[in-house]
Amino acid sequence: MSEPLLSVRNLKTVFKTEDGQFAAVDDVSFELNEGEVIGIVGESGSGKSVTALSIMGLVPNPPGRIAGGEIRFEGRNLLELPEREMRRLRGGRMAMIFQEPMTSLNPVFTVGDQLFEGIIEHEGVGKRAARDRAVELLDKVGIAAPAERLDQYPHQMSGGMRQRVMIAMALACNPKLLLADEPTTALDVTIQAQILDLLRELQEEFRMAVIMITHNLGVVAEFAHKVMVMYCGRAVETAPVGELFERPSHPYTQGLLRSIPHLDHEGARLRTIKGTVPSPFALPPGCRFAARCEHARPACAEAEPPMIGVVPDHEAACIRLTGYRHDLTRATEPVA
Amino acid sequence: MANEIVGGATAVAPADPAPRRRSRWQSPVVRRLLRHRMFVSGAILLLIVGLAAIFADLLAPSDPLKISIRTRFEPPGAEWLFGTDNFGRSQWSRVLYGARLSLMIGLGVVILNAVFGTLVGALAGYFRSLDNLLMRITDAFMAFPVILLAIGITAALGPGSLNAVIALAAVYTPRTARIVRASVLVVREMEYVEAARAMGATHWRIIWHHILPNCMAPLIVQLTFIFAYSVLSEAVLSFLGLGAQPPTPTWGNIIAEGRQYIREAPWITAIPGIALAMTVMGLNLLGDGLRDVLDPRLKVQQG
Repeated sequence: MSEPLLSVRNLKTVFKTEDGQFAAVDDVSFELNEGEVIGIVGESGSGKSVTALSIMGLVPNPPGRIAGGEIRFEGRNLLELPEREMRRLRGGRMAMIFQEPMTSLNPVFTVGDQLFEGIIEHEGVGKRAARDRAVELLDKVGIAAPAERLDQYPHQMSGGMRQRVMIAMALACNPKLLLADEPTTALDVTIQAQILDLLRELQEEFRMAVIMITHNLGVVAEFAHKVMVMYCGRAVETAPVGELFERPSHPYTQGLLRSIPHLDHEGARLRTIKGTVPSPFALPPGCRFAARCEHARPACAEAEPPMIGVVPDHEAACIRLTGYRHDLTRATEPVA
Repeated sequence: MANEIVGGATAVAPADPAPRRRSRWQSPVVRRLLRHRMFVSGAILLLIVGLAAIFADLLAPSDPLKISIRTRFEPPGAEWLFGTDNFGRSQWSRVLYGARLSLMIGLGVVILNAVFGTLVGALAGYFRSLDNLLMRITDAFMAFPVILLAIGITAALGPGSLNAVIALAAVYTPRTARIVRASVLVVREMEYVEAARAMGATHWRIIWHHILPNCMAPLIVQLTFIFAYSVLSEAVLSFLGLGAQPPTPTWGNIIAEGRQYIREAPWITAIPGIALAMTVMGLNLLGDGLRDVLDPRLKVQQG
């Protein structure tokens, strides 16, 4: 494998507001190979959605703007592509599904009309062929009686079914890259599991690369091959998924993992991460997590910590890892 | 496993047991409209006025311009249904032919309004960079009282019914544009618009296909009111001698001519006045009905 399908380098996306300018995504880099799934995790405002929108070229402008970096997709830098080319990519080679299935479908058109739109636009086929393809897609995402469902309006469907339709729309043109922005957050727990199963089946069948944005570490554990944890617009830890759960190395990741409720820890109080996310306008110098970190030391406030390798493919931005090389033969907890 | 999933999902959805393809005319909206008492009474009123205007030459065989000195100021009765005016012309003919012109002017204003109001509103709402420019221009228009501005424009263009249409359209378009802009601002933030963008849709396709259809409800309602206002304002312009020129009858200039004889022959002003009131009431009822039925928040209760 020569070049990865998608490579994001030092991406910086800034927003201009009345209170000044802030970087919603600051110096984020990652790579994604064909058929690989990356989970981007972080709390609200950590920049995960903006990262996805930046890749799709959908950052609302103004107030948003990609201020620096490079996004290479299939060998081309997306930031240099003209809008027309970008439009051809969107919905064609790369597609996105959104969080809210209730509002992601246009209420005044039938589900079929909305499915045809993308197919006709990108595949250049006629209405009849588009209809056949749409039936096939709805069948593929597990909707019974797809031919009849095509003529229904979104309000005649449940949330889970609408999300299936959204997935069908995204798959319409066999994308190589699928961006899923919290696709299960707005759904019932049982439906969440079904949708995740469906996404995984489809991902394997079509060998799609998937960027799964979520704040649910469970989703990541189930679905992703590797993980990027974001905090305040920065990547604080990247690792293969098993590694991350086994050896979380950034205090923030450790905090996130500890704040998952466990069924078997009866009576124990749920651990939370103390404090709140700093305002993007008043970021502390040095490590952005320092104020909430139980391991913080004076050096933390001096410079932003770089990504430091823990083991190959596993990096975290914490100065406590400086000079640290994990001895793979000794399976002890590295730092805590 | 796919079957199981669907079983679960359908159980959640109170979807139609047997989804069929329905034509738009059997749609629930139309059925609700036909059950709406205000809408139906408005529609009937307008139908009466509209049919009278369309079939004016059948219903009123006598020439509305034919002067007859011997039959001046005949009161309404068996021979002259609506009486005669100061030139002995048949009021029945004049009011029916007047309906034609009044309604055509109203319709013309509405069409121009719909086109330009939607265009300006959609541009301002969608392309935020144009917003300030376009909205300040509409503000400038809206700073003048409606009639004053219409009088100003007709005075500049010269009197006549076509110029009255242009003037009234220019006066009311900013209002329509504002309403369209407001809806566009709301709809453009909806996720399905973002989803459409993520599917690679062009700006025009997004505006035309995804945004405007979702802004139709307030627009349609607004246009029925604009229709009513412009029939009224045309009457005012004609009354002032700036609309259609006598002897061409419109409701406005019939009223204007009749006002000198209001003591001796009150029917000259009263009858076109009643016709005008009926039309405006019909339009308002129609607009209210449409608003009630098209407002999605009321849908749940009625559906």
